[in-house]
Amino acid sequence: MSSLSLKNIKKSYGQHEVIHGVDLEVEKGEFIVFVGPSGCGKSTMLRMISGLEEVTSGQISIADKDVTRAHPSKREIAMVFQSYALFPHMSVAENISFGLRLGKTPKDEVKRRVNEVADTLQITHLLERFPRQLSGGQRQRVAIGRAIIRNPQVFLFDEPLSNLDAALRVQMRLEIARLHKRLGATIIYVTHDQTEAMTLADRIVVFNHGVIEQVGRPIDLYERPANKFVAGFLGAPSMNFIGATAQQGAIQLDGFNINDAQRAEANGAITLGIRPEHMSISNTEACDFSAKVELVEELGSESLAYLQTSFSSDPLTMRVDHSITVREGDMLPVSVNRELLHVFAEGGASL
Amino acid sequence: MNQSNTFWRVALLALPLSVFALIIIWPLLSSFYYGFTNWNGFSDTYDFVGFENFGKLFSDRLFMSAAINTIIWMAIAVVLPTVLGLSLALLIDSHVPGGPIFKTIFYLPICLSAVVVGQVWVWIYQPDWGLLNSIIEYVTNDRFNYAWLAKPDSALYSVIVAWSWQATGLSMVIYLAGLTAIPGDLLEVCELEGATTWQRIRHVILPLLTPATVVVVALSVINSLKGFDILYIMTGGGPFNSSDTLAMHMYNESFKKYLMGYGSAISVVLFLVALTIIRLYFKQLKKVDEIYG
Amino acid sequence: MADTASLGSASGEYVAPKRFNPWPVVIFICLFTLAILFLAPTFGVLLSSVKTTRDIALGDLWAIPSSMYWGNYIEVLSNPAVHGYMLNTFLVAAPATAFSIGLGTLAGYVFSKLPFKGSDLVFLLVVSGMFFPPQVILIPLFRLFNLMGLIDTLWPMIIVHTALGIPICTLLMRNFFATVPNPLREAAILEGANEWQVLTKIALPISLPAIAVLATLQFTWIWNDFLWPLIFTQSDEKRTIMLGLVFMKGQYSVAWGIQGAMSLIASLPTLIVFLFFQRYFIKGMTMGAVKG
Repeated sequence: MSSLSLKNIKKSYGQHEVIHGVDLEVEKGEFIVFVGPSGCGKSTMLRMISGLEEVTSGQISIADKDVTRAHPSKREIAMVFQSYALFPHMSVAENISFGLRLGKTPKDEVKRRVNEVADTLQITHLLERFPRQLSGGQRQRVAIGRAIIRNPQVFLFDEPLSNLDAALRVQMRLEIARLHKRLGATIIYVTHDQTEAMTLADRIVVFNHGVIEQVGRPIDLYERPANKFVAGFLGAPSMNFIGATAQQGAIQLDGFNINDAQRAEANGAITLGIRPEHMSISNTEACDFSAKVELVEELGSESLAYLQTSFSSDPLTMRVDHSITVREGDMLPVSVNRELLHVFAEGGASL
Repeated sequence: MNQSNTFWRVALLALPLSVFALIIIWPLLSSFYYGFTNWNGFSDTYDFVGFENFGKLFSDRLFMSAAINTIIWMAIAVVLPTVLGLSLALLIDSHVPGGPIFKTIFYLPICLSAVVVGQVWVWIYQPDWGLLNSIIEYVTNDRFNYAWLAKPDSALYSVIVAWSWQATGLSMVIYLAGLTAIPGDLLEVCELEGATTWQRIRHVILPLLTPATVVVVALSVINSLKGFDILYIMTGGGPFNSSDTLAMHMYNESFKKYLMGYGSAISVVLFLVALTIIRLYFKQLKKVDEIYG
Repeated sequence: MADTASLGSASGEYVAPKRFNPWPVVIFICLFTLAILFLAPTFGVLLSSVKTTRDIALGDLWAIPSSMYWGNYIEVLSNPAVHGYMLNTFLVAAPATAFSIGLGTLAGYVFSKLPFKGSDLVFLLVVSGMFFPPQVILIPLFRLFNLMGLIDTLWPMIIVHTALGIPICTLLMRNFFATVPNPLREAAILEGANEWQVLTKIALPISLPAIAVLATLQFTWIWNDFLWPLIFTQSDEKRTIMLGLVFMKGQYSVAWGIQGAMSLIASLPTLIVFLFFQRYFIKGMTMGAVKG
């Protein structure tokens, strides 16, 4: 049974179309992450699923019911906002039970369900407090509590961790993952943080300029990006791109010994993509190219070396194990893992 | 969603907008209408007189002197409460002990009614035992009983001073709000650059207070146009109409002489003047907002 | 900074040479003098109210009294007309304050949370209403209420003050609602609230400070108003306190002490509001002015 289905969703503001036809099927219990740069349409898409924004055309179904024109509160969804959107004048218990009380649920039941949810989230001791008296992580939990109590078909998370500091973000990320396992809930989660996307998602949906660039398991997206945008967006530090030419499948680049890498479809101007972790310092004389170290960033467990080469105007980033000492100004022989080399056609499509 | 939003817009705006339209907009428009009639205030019938009322304005010497007095009032209102309010704000903002108490004292007159303020100042100007003449007598050590409010030369100015006394507090708090909005690091930069206090005020604080100045000047002008109550109490426009303003003249013609048609014509003039000022004000606000955010 | 030599002083710590800074003292004296001048008029009323008319006429108004004379207050407070004036003013100010805030809240909510095409223009039109001199609408309103037979009742004043309060109330409420985060409204709507519930259960409870600001402003203005009662009332029974003050001046023409006591009593409600809610008062005045 599909939990959420989007069919050819379009959204325009006046003449200006911002979402250009999005299709997506989400299975029950799936954790889907929408990721993309700011302004790519991921948040607009989420808000259209919630009903806070209207779709211009297309169809949204939740639990196999068409809700395209339904009121937000009738869609069986719950949303956790970036700012948590807790009502400052209500206690935690009142915040969590707001929807139930609006619906005139009997007092006993409201109380029972609030306690149940508070138990799940371990916030029972906070029920009488007000949002202002809570820490960032606690507020986050209350916001999730307000979502859980609705027993929704789909949970919507709008960049829920971006207001937290780095340490807390990691902790809450784990908690959300745990919660997903326990509740078995369908989750649509919007973020611009690719680490969150990679760690949390069953499937990632990469948005750019109002279209879906690629949908897939995180590791698939990392290993087999459909195009240059996805390749560049996922992975940190991001993939190195080098302009090159190809003739009848043979790649040619001055100063880069790459002629042996064949891509049958490649012809004309192409872009090579090399991840920083797929380059290494060659032990033997046989290297692919030699490069001068411009700058080294030591991160502790590893270092990042920025390399000047004869064939790329931008420096290339290379991951180096912390056990190897690299100094600025060194000339290094570099070899590239051929199996993990990406080649993109002129339009950006992966070859 | 859209439909329900439209429903709520209409539902929530219906009452406020219809009250506003009925009590403010409609009378405003019908003032123009009555300006073309000779309605006398009680009779059910009246005649259209065309532009007669508006033509009469130019030959009405009292109207002309009221217009000039209004301009004088505006001019002084631009200077007096603004300069005084700015000075007080700068002094109070310098972390002087008792700052909040001073602020309250200078701001206090704003909560008094024009009637009370007018009466208080009538006593200040009282010829025999008023504070002003008492001080002059004390300083010059000579008998002095000039009747400030009863002399055509001084009546208008005496009222404007009283009005400014009340208006200064508002200018001061607007300037104080403007001063708190100046980022502290800008002033720290001044200190690092070695600017003197005067240089800091002249080159950094005053320019950054431009938005506040626009507001203060505009409000002073607009409020001076509204000045009626205090004038009514202190001089009633006298002696011999020497302190009449447009608002006062309009009241006299309409509710003393019952020339409601003619009064409406004056109110139309008043409206057009106010409209010009308000448009200028909004334009300046927009300009200032673009620069100072 | 200039005196680096003192760096190596005995204690080993740099101690800035302490110079006497005369400025705070000069500023304080300036402000103190100005404050006395500013308080003088108000203080004069206070003094007059505890002196006999004879003392004042003899030129002793500005002297600190050796003994308090309470006769003026007794005279004013025992005058039944004053009770009527106060009651009338309250009967106008209280409902007009409440109505104008209510209407401003409704309009302000739409302008901040449910904007529509052209809503900025409508908003500007409403707000500019607070800048026009009231004389501009005097005559048509006089005729309107005359035709309705409401002249010499309290109704015209309540209605007019309600309408005249709409601009400032709409402005302040819109600006305050604008600081209520949109996700709060959206979260409530997702939970099944309609706009009325969002307004009453979320936006309004959060906006109580703005309501307090408006209540102090509106009450003070309406209480102090003189022009509208002057136009709309005729009989002594319907006069408000400010109008009563002016008319009683005739009755006690040279009884300055009684006039002083009357002024103070008439100003007492607004003085109390001002002294207790000064913070709100200033906030409202500056918000209304700066954001206009």
